[in-house]
Amino acid sequence: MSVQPHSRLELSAPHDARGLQRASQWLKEHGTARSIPPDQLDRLDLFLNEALANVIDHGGPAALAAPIELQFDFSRLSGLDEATITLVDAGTPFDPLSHSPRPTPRSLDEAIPGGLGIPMIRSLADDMSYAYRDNHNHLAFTVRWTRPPQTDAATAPGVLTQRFKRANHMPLTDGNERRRRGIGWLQLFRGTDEDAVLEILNECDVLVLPPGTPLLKPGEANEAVFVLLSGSLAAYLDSDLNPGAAIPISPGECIGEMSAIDGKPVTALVMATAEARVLKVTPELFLNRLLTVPGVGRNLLVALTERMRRTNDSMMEAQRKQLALQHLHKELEVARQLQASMLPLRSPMFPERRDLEIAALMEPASEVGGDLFDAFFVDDRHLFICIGDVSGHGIPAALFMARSIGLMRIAAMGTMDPAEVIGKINDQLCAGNDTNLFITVFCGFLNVSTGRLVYSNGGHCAPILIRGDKACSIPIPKGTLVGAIPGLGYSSCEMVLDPEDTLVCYTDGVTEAQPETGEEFSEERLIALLGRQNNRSPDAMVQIVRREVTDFTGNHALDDDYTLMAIRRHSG
Amino acid sequence: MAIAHEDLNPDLRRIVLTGRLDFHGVEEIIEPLSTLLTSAGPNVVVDLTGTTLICSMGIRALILNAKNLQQRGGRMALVVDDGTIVSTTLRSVGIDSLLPVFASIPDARDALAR
Repeated sequence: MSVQPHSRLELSAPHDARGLQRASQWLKEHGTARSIPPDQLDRLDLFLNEALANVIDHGGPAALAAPIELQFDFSRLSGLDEATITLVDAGTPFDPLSHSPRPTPRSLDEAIPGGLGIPMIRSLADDMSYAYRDNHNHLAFTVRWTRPPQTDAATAPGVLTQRFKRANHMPLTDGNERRRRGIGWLQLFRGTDEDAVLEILNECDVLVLPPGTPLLKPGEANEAVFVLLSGSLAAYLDSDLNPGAAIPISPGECIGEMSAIDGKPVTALVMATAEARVLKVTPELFLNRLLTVPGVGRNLLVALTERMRRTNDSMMEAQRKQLALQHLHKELEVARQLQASMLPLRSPMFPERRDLEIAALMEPASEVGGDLFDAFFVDDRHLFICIGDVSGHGIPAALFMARSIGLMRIAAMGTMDPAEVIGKINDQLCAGNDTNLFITVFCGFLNVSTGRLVYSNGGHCAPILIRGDKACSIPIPKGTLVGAIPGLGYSSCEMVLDPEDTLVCYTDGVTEAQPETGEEFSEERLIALLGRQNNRSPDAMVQIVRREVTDFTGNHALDDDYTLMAIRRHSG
Repeated sequence: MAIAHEDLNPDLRRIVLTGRLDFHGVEEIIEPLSTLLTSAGPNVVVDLTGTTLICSMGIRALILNAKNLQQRGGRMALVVDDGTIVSTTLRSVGIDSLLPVFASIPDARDALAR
């Protein structure tokens, strides 16, 4: 793919942790294709993380109502490259450039954790700009760098090229004698005629690679064979450069012989991890001269065999890990069953009551989830209902969910004020919460005799009321998500649920479900669908919504936990 | 994101964070990090030489845990490779004025032993 002098890419990012990951992946993929240096990509990536998280956490309901739009601009100027990421969101207007950072604390005692994101991205940018227009924040972050000339490893910056000399390039033995080692310590030349080999090596170059310099890059053609004389190299099979995944290459080992033999592109990135001296044998010298020295061909086969054995060992290790993973999956299945047992997943929920009908469905995105819902009578007439969504997914979210539902049940037994319930669990969840997890909650007390519903909200999406053939979101009191900031007050609202009215509570996994490419299911689509379902039972209603969402996403696996609860009041 | 640890001596635990400490990474390590710090004693060196990116939440988690450790009479030091994005990021928020930052484990170990 050729890169234009100026190119723009766009992405709609969902506002959750998965959206952050998707955006990072998108940046990495397209940035690498445009040869943006890794350190510049890191700066862009960090900005993306900080700015997206900022919109998600502080942008308010307006920000969460629509995806965040990302623009990735790349310009190739004369000798200078420039990349800009622009975030466009509909959240609360906020100009980070006019934000005064806190003074730097002088000690740990004075330090107040938090508020670090803005000064961090400002210091990492070569340029930043902010504008508020068309009811959207436009925040742009730019990095610039000088484009290095196109080179191969031999002429890359910082790489020295020297002619091979035995006296300079054969390492000394340890100990007191300080003798130079013979050529046989190099795997390729073990047991060969030293003079014959040295005669050929004297025509080779030695590359001196500073740490971090690539010797071979994936996808490149390579014809030379390299032998590591001193220092260290590592091979990376993926582009993550994760040190744990690096395959170390020790002095004496060959590199590049496979691509030199079969002529196929290099498959791994090979990079110096400490200053490395590498002997470079040209194809002509290797094929026509070295391979004719008795023993070199055999040594090459031995080297390839050893590499194959190492690959087999790695495969065995991968298989062992796979078995461990299977065991973990079994444990997760038990955890899933335990979690399901915490929720009232029976349908209908109160078969003995004629004045009420409730149905609910919860599907976690992974084995265990962070969504919760509950409905139980605190006395003969008052039903407590709640629905919540823990940030994140998987086991941490599931544990936080278990804690939250327990606290909620205790709080609901002690008061009939839903604002007090949320305020109480907010303080309890904040206490000792260093996990950065939080939960959005909607809860209320329904008087099933009169239909009066008193409810409160902590950052959760508004439930939908279905009355006749009309469906609409109910007004919800403003309330911050729960478990993040202690000491917050919450307020409540009230409404009357008439006989045959249905209230549908849901988590954003329903409205944000989306196909591999395309828009989200959306609140508007959910409201329109529910408006056509009033003649159906709550149980049929939740099943139809689930089916519609599945059809909409084309059976695409859920990105987020999915929960829906429908409550219908009958005249009794 | 991976987290590992070793006790260098009875008073000093090394906690190694490997991979991307972005918001997702923070979610992954926050609980094990807290657990490892609670059971450590009294000093901890957090090895970030294998960390490829650190976000503000990651730094916040380090500061929070360092404060908790300090309240229990312990100290935390960081080990970071110079010239990396992690080192640049940490410097950009002045973390070196809050926590001692070293280039190697032996340097950190010697400083915490004093």
